[in-house]
Amino acid sequence: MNFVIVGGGKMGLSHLAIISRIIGSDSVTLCDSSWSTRFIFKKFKYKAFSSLDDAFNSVTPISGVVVATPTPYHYAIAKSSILNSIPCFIEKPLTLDVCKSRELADLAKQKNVYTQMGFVMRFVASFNRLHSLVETGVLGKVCSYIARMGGNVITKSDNSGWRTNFAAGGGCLNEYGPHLIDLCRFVFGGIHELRSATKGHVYSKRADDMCDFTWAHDSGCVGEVSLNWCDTSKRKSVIEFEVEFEHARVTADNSALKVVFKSSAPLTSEQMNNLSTPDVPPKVGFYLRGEEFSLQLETFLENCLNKSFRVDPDFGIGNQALIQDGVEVDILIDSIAKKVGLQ
Amino acid sequence: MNFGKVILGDNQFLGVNHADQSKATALNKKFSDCDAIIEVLGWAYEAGIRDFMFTTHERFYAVFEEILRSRLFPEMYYTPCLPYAHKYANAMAEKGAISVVLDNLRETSKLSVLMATSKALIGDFSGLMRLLVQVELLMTKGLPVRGVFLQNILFDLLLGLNATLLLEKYHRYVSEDLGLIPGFITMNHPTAVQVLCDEIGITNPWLCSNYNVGGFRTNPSQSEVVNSFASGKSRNIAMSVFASGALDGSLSLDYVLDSQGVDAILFGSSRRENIEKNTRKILDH
Repeated sequence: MNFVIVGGGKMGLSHLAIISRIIGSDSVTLCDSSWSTRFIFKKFKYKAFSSLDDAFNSVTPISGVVVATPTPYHYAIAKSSILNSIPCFIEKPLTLDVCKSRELADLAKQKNVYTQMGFVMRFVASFNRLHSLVETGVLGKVCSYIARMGGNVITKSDNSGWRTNFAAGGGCLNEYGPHLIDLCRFVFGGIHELRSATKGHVYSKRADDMCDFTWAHDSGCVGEVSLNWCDTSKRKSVIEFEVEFEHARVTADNSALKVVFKSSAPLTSEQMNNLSTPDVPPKVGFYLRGEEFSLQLETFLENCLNKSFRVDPDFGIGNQALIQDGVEVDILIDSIAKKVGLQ
Repeated sequence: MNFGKVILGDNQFLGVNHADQSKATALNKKFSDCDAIIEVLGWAYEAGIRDFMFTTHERFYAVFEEILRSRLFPEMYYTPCLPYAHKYANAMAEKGAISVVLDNLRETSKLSVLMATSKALIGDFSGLMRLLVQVELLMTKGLPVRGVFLQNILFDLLLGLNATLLLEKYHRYVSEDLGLIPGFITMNHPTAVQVLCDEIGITNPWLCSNYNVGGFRTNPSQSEVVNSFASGKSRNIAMSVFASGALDGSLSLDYVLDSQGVDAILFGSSRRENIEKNTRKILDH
């Protein structure tokens, strides 16, 4: 059993540490094109290679590949992994080109390879609960909602790096968009129609710093979505929902979900009490930066090795995003980018 | 040297609230004013708290300058927890881990950077670790420091990477060279005890970890964390004891005070009556 992490940056490091604790660091290999990164990980006793082919040739059997490189490299690495029939976990977004994303999804389907997307927000307790409130219909139908994601990623003018270049995968729509767009699809279902979209610039010249759009879901409910990565009032990135159900108004963010019932709500007081009880986050085998990061990897390993790694067996079963969700999100980002003139 | 039974934490000053993001945003704004932080520290001091544990966030530079200038809070001890991860995280995604480390090291002497990087070239990262500790400690210059803790984001990462040698060297550097209490904040108390005590062989390390009646963020399970605290292998600071206000305050505190293996309780609050009431209850127990 071996897992290969491709990309030793922030996300790769985090995935590598969590997986190491779950299955043991002897079973984890790193691929990174940078000599110094490989050097450091070798000193921590990891096997490290400069290319995926070298890793494939030297380490067997490989049970899974984690793709945590900058987005422009996702396609080639995921393709190589899928062609070798190795399950892969791909960080968001899938690719920067809808055609390539579709090709990967078709290939995964054809080869019947398990391919999971790193849409981590689906494993946040409050968003998981919002999802089940919509799914069970206990508060009636969803009439409309507002979704926001804000944070202070870009706080000064610096247009030199890839982060502020939309074509290279930078900008707020590419950075925050995948998380919130996927979450909206996960909670409220497929998107029927993108109605309007606008962008705004604060510091970035070659990418958006803010992006707002309105869409209608297949269910008929309308959502107003807003992204802003120059929001200095936030200590770290936060997602917030305000949802108008038939029988209640619900607010949810990364930490908590609150229900305010309408007088018309046909619910018993016991049901209302249950719905008002705060969530305790699920337990994980090893916590690094939020339960959701551990849960998505416990789920990935479970699917690769056909063995359970969860310490909380009941939470978020089947929540994970698959490659087709990655394609749908890329299509929506592409439509929004065209509408606001980023492409 | 030991910690007092009550330690004031800094989540409220940085806008961290695990149960309410809007409250978090409001606190973040309120405590961007240095005087607002000093006022709360004053309430804690008057209530009998003699330990302040804080993240090395730039917000505290002005606070500590003012404390030194006006000679406030004599007998108060300060324990920095490093690093403040968010200031590195964004830069890391942009420039990569290595250049971020080197950028930050420019604040210390060129010679020590040269020595640390040469050691790193032969695979010994303890020199870089020392320099990072030195850089992050700059803000406490002139203040009585009790301990130096690694934040959970860094310590749990090192646990994940099984970086036992680095953790051992950090522990030795802080206790022997700096003469301070080395400590570790963790969200994985049982794993931390296993690695620090059983694998590395550190005797009674100071750990700071979630401990609360509701089992909020006690991984991998509440019972394993309770047993790990009670094992007597580590000295323990209980945090998130009120689970960010989601549970009844008095009941929450009773649970922690009656537990085995809790040496100190860390809590943060921006309300004077809460600070006074909780401190009195802990000190009187």
